[in-house]
Amino acid sequence: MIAPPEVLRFAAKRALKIRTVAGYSLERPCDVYELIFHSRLELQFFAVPTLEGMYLEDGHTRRICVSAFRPPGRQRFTAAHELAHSALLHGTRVDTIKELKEKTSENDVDEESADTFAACLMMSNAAVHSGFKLRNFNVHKPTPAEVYRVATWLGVGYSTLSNHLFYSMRAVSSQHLRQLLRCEPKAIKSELVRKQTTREVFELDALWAGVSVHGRVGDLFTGVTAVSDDVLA
Amino acid sequence: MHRPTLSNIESGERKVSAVELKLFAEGYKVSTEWLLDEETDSNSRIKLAARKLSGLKDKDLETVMRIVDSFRRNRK
Repeated sequence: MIAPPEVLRFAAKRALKIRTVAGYSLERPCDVYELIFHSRLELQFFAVPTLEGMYLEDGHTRRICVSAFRPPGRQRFTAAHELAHSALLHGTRVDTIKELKEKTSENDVDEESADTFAACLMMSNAAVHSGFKLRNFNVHKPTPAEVYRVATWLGVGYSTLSNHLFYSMRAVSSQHLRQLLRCEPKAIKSELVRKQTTREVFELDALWAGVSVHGRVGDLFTGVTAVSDDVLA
Repeated sequence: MHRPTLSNIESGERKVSAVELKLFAEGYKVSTEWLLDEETDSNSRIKLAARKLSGLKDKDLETVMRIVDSFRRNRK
Protein backbone atom coordinates (compact mmCIF):
# COMPACT_ATOMS: atom_id res chain seq x y z
CA MET A 1 0.00 0.00 0.00
CA ILE A 2 1.29 3.46 -0.95
CA ALA A 3 1.13 6.19 1.70
CA PRO A 4 -1.31 9.02 0.86
CA PRO A 5 0.44 12.36 0.11
CA GLU A 6 -1.15 14.06 3.14
CA VAL A 7 0.34 11.41 5.44
CA LEU A 8 3.81 12.02 4.00
CA ARG A 9 3.35 15.79 4.21
CA PHE A 10 2.40 15.46 7.88
CA ALA A 11 5.50 13.32 8.53
CA ALA A 12 7.71 15.89 6.79
CA LYS A 13 6.21 18.80 8.73
CA ARG A 14 6.57 16.93 12.02
CA ALA A 15 10.27 16.27 11.31
CA LEU A 16 10.97 19.90 10.46
CA LYS A 17 9.11 21.08 13.55
CA ILE A 18 10.94 18.67 15.86
CA ARG A 19 14.37 19.68 14.60
CA THR A 20 13.47 23.38 14.79
CA VAL A 21 12.07 23.11 18.33
CA ALA A 22 15.23 21.24 19.36
CA GLY A 23 17.29 24.22 18.17
CA TYR A 24 18.66 22.90 14.88
CA SER A 25 18.47 25.54 12.17
CA LEU A 26 17.19 24.20 8.86
CA GLU A 27 20.50 25.03 7.19
CA ARG A 28 22.54 22.91 9.61
CA PRO A 29 22.86 19.14 10.17
CA CYS A 30 20.62 17.59 12.81
CA ASP A 31 22.38 15.22 15.23
CA VAL A 32 19.82 12.45 15.55
CA TYR A 33 21.54 10.76 18.50
CA GLU A 34 21.56 14.04 20.41
CA LEU A 35 17.91 14.55 19.51
CA ILE A 36 17.02 11.06 20.77
CA PHE A 37 18.87 11.78 24.02
CA HIS A 38 17.11 15.11 24.54
CA SER A 39 13.75 13.52 23.69
CA ARG A 40 14.38 11.15 26.62
CA LEU A 41 14.34 8.03 24.47
CA GLU A 42 16.69 5.12 25.04
CA LEU A 43 19.05 4.08 22.26
CA GLN A 44 20.31 0.51 21.95
CA PHE A 45 22.51 -1.13 19.33
CA PHE A 46 21.65 -4.79 18.84
CA ALA A 47 23.30 -7.75 17.18
CA VAL A 48 20.69 -8.67 14.57
CA PRO A 49 22.29 -8.70 11.10
CA THR A 50 19.05 -8.94 9.11
CA LEU A 51 17.08 -6.16 10.81
CA GLU A 52 17.88 -2.45 10.41
CA GLY A 53 16.10 -1.31 13.56
CA MET A 54 12.93 -1.25 15.61
CA TYR A 55 11.04 0.93 18.07
CA LEU A 56 9.65 -0.22 21.43
CA GLU A 57 7.46 1.54 23.96
CA ASP A 58 5.38 0.54 26.94
CA GLY A 59 3.69 3.79 27.88
CA HIS A 60 6.50 4.87 30.21
CA THR A 61 9.67 4.14 28.31
CA ARG A 62 10.52 4.48 24.63
CA ARG A 63 13.51 2.70 23.12
CA ILE A 64 15.10 2.89 19.69
CA CYS A 65 17.05 -0.19 18.64
CA VAL A 66 19.53 -0.04 15.76
CA SER A 67 21.53 -2.87 14.20
CA ALA A 68 25.20 -2.79 15.13
CA PHE A 69 26.02 -4.36 11.75
CA ARG A 70 25.38 -1.32 9.57
CA PRO A 71 27.61 1.57 8.44
CA PRO A 72 27.39 4.68 10.67
CA GLY A 73 25.41 6.75 8.16
CA ARG A 74 22.88 3.97 7.75
CA GLN A 75 22.61 3.58 11.52
CA ARG A 76 21.83 7.28 11.98
CA PHE A 77 19.19 7.24 9.24
CA THR A 78 17.64 4.16 10.85
CA ALA A 79 17.68 5.90 14.24
CA ALA A 80 15.82 8.84 12.64
CA HIS A 81 13.37 6.39 11.05
CA GLU A 82 12.69 4.76 14.42
CA LEU A 83 12.37 8.20 16.05
CA ALA A 84 9.60 8.83 13.52
CA HIS A 85 7.63 5.90 14.90
CA SER A 86 7.70 7.63 18.28
CA ALA A 87 6.90 11.09 16.92
CA LEU A 88 4.11 9.83 14.67
CA LEU A 89 2.65 7.49 17.30
CA HIS A 90 3.20 4.32 15.26
CA GLY A 91 3.41 0.79 16.56
CA THR A 92 1.37 -2.26 17.28
CA ARG A 93 0.90 -4.37 20.41
CA VAL A 94 2.81 -7.62 20.26
CA ASP A 95 3.46 -10.45 22.65
CA THR A 96 4.57 -13.51 20.71
CA ILE A 97 6.85 -14.34 17.80
CA LYS A 98 3.76 -15.19 15.74
CA GLU A 99 2.35 -11.72 16.41
CA LEU A 100 5.71 -10.18 15.59
CA LYS A 101 5.70 -11.85 12.17
CA GLU A 102 2.07 -11.11 11.37
CA LYS A 103 1.52 -7.60 12.67
CA THR A 104 4.77 -5.95 11.63
CA SER A 105 4.69 -7.05 8.00
CA GLU A 106 1.59 -5.11 7.01
CA ASN A 107 2.04 -1.46 7.81
CA ASP A 108 3.90 -0.11 4.78
CA VAL A 109 2.26 3.32 5.19
CA ASP A 110 3.88 3.80 8.60
CA GLU A 111 7.24 2.67 7.21
CA GLU A 112 7.04 5.03 4.23
CA SER A 113 6.04 8.00 6.37
CA ALA A 114 8.88 7.15 8.80
CA ASP A 115 11.33 7.26 5.88
CA THR A 116 9.95 10.64 4.83
CA PHE A 117 10.31 11.91 8.40
CA ALA A 118 13.92 10.64 8.59
CA ALA A 119 14.82 12.20 5.23
CA CYS A 120 13.39 15.61 6.23
CA LEU A 121 15.01 15.44 9.65
CA MET A 122 18.50 14.68 8.37
CA MET A 123 18.44 16.07 4.84
CA SER A 124 16.21 19.14 4.89
CA ASN A 125 16.36 20.93 1.54
CA ALA A 126 17.95 23.97 3.18
CA ALA A 127 20.66 21.87 4.88
CA VAL A 128 21.50 19.99 1.69
CA HIS A 129 21.65 23.20 -0.36
CA SER A 130 23.81 25.01 2.19
CA GLY A 131 26.09 21.94 2.49
CA PHE A 132 26.88 22.20 -1.21
CA LYS A 133 26.63 25.96 -1.74
CA LEU A 134 28.81 27.05 1.19
CA ARG A 135 31.56 24.68 -0.01
CA ASN A 136 31.24 26.03 -3.55
CA PHE A 137 30.01 22.64 -4.83
CA ASN A 138 27.43 22.52 -7.62
CA VAL A 139 24.41 20.67 -6.19
CA HIS A 140 23.25 19.85 -9.73
CA LYS A 141 26.49 18.20 -10.81
CA PRO A 142 28.40 17.18 -7.70
CA THR A 143 31.39 14.87 -7.86
CA PRO A 144 31.29 11.67 -5.77
CA ALA A 145 33.83 13.17 -3.32
CA GLU A 146 31.63 16.26 -2.90
CA VAL A 147 28.53 14.15 -2.23
CA TYR A 148 30.52 12.07 0.25
CA ARG A 149 31.72 15.19 2.12
CA VAL A 150 28.22 16.65 2.38
CA ALA A 151 26.72 13.26 3.32
CA THR A 152 29.26 12.85 6.16
CA TRP A 153 28.49 16.39 7.35
CA LEU A 154 24.74 15.66 7.34
CA GLY A 155 25.34 12.31 9.06
CA VAL A 156 23.89 10.12 6.32
CA GLY A 157 25.35 7.56 3.92
CA TYR A 158 26.74 8.39 0.48
CA SER A 159 24.10 6.50 -1.50
CA THR A 160 21.32 7.82 0.77
CA LEU A 161 22.21 11.42 -0.13
CA SER A 162 22.80 10.52 -3.79
CA ASN A 163 19.32 9.00 -4.05
CA HIS A 164 17.81 11.91 -2.11
CA LEU A 165 19.34 14.40 -4.56
CA PHE A 166 17.48 12.71 -7.40
CA TYR A 167 14.30 11.16 -6.00
CA SER A 168 13.31 13.83 -3.44
CA MET A 169 15.00 17.05 -4.54
CA ARG A 170 15.28 16.50 -8.29
CA ALA A 171 18.60 18.33 -8.03
CA VAL A 172 20.55 15.88 -10.22
CA SER A 173 19.60 14.00 -13.38
CA SER A 174 18.99 10.25 -13.44
CA GLN A 175 22.14 9.89 -15.53
CA HIS A 176 24.16 11.77 -12.91
CA LEU A 177 22.65 9.62 -10.16
CA ARG A 178 23.77 6.49 -12.00
CA GLN A 179 27.27 7.93 -12.24
CA LEU A 180 27.30 8.70 -8.51
CA LEU A 181 26.03 5.25 -7.56
CA ARG A 182 28.70 3.60 -9.71
CA CYS A 183 31.30 4.97 -7.25
CA GLU A 184 31.83 2.93 -4.12
CA PRO A 185 32.22 4.89 -0.86
CA LYS A 186 35.30 2.76 -0.15
CA ALA A 187 37.01 4.11 -3.30
CA ILE A 188 36.01 7.71 -2.48
CA LYS A 189 37.35 7.42 1.07
CA SER A 190 40.59 5.84 -0.11
CA GLU A 191 41.06 8.67 -2.59
CA LEU A 192 40.44 11.30 0.09
CA VAL A 193 43.14 9.93 2.40
CA ARG A 194 45.34 8.51 -0.40
CA LYS A 195 45.42 5.01 1.08
CA GLN A 196 43.12 1.99 1.13
CA THR A 197 40.55 2.23 3.90
CA THR A 198 37.10 1.00 4.77
CA ARG A 199 36.82 3.25 7.84
CA GLU A 200 34.86 6.47 7.95
CA VAL A 201 36.75 9.50 6.70
CA PHE A 202 35.76 12.90 8.08
CA GLU A 203 37.02 15.82 6.04
CA LEU A 204 36.54 18.52 8.64
CA ASP A 205 36.18 22.03 7.26
CA ALA A 206 34.95 25.32 8.71
CA LEU A 207 31.31 24.25 8.27
CA TRP A 208 31.81 21.53 10.88
CA ALA A 209 32.07 24.17 13.61
CA GLY A 210 29.36 23.36 16.15
CA VAL A 211 28.48 20.05 14.47
CA SER A 212 29.01 16.86 16.51
CA VAL A 213 31.37 14.24 15.11
CA HIS A 214 30.46 10.65 16.00
CA GLY A 215 33.76 9.02 15.19
CA ARG A 216 34.82 5.50 16.11
CA VAL A 217 38.22 4.06 16.86
CA GLY A 218 40.07 3.72 13.56
CA ASP A 219 38.14 6.45 11.73
CA LEU A 220 40.21 9.00 9.86
CA PHE A 221 40.06 12.77 10.12
CA THR A 222 41.45 15.29 7.70
CA GLY A 223 41.48 19.08 7.93
CA VAL A 224 42.32 19.06 11.64
CA THR A 225 45.34 21.30 12.09
CA ALA A 226 45.51 21.46 15.86
CA VAL A 227 43.76 19.95 18.83
CA SER A 228 43.95 21.79 22.12
CA ASP A 229 44.55 20.02 25.41
CA ASP A 230 41.07 21.08 26.51
CA VAL A 231 39.52 18.91 23.78
CA LEU A 232 41.65 15.90 24.69
CA ALA A 233 41.02 16.24 28.44
CA MET B 1 35.48 -4.44 36.11
CA HIS B 2 38.71 -6.19 35.17
CA ARG B 3 38.76 -8.81 32.44
CA PRO B 4 39.99 -11.68 34.71
CA THR B 5 37.07 -10.97 37.05
CA LEU B 6 34.65 -11.24 34.15
CA SER B 7 36.30 -14.49 33.04
CA ASN B 8 35.93 -15.89 36.55
CA ILE B 9 32.24 -14.93 36.61
CA GLU B 10 31.66 -16.49 33.19
CA SER B 11 33.37 -19.72 34.24
CA GLY B 12 31.38 -19.85 37.47
CA GLU B 13 34.46 -19.52 39.67
CA ARG B 14 33.25 -16.23 41.14
CA LYS B 15 29.79 -15.29 42.36
CA VAL B 16 28.15 -11.98 41.49
CA SER B 17 27.03 -9.68 44.26
CA ALA B 18 23.62 -8.00 44.26
CA VAL B 19 25.26 -4.63 43.64
CA GLU B 20 27.21 -5.99 40.66
CA LEU B 21 24.10 -7.64 39.28
CA LYS B 22 22.29 -4.30 39.39
CA LEU B 23 25.23 -2.60 37.67
CA PHE B 24 25.26 -5.26 34.92
CA ALA B 25 21.51 -4.81 34.43
CA GLU B 26 21.89 -1.04 34.14
CA GLY B 27 24.91 -1.30 31.86
CA TYR B 28 23.30 -3.74 29.44
CA LYS B 29 19.83 -2.12 29.78
CA VAL B 30 18.12 -5.34 30.82
CA SER B 31 16.35 -6.33 34.00
CA THR B 32 17.95 -8.32 36.80
CA GLU B 33 15.20 -10.92 36.24
CA TRP B 34 16.34 -11.29 32.62
CA LEU B 35 19.96 -11.81 33.72
CA LEU B 36 18.82 -14.44 36.20
CA ASP B 37 16.65 -16.10 33.54
CA GLU B 38 13.56 -15.80 35.70
CA GLU B 39 10.00 -16.11 34.42
CA THR B 40 7.98 -12.92 34.12
CA ASP B 41 4.42 -12.02 33.38
CA SER B 42 3.82 -12.00 29.61
CA ASN B 43 0.63 -9.98 29.93
CA SER B 44 2.42 -6.65 30.07
CA ARG B 45 2.20 -6.04 26.31
CA ILE B 46 4.38 -3.49 24.65
CA LYS B 47 4.10 -1.53 21.44
CA LEU B 48 6.55 -2.25 18.64
CA ALA B 49 7.24 -0.86 15.18
CA ALA B 50 9.58 -2.57 12.74
CA ARG B 51 9.60 -3.57 9.12
CA LYS B 52 9.88 -6.93 7.41
CA LEU B 53 10.10 -9.03 10.55
CA SER B 54 8.29 -11.78 8.67
CA GLY B 55 11.35 -12.13 6.45
CA LEU B 56 13.78 -12.53 9.30
CA LYS B 57 15.68 -15.74 9.93
CA ASP B 58 14.32 -17.71 12.88
CA LYS B 59 17.51 -17.14 14.84
CA ASP B 60 17.28 -13.35 14.37
CA LEU B 61 13.58 -13.37 15.17
CA GLU B 62 14.33 -15.12 18.44
CA THR B 63 16.94 -12.46 19.23
CA VAL B 64 14.35 -9.77 18.53
CA MET B 65 11.88 -11.50 20.82
CA ARG B 66 14.55 -11.68 23.54
CA ILE B 67 15.13 -7.94 23.19
CA VAL B 68 11.37 -7.35 23.44
CA ASP B 69 11.24 -9.61 26.52
CA SER B 70 14.16 -7.86 28.17
CA PHE B 71 12.53 -4.49 27.50
CA ARG B 72 9.29 -5.73 29.06
CA ARG B 73 11.03 -7.21 32.12
CA ASN B 74 13.19 -4.15 32.58
CA ARG B 75 10.04 -2.06 33.05
CA LYS B 76 8.79 -4.09 35.98
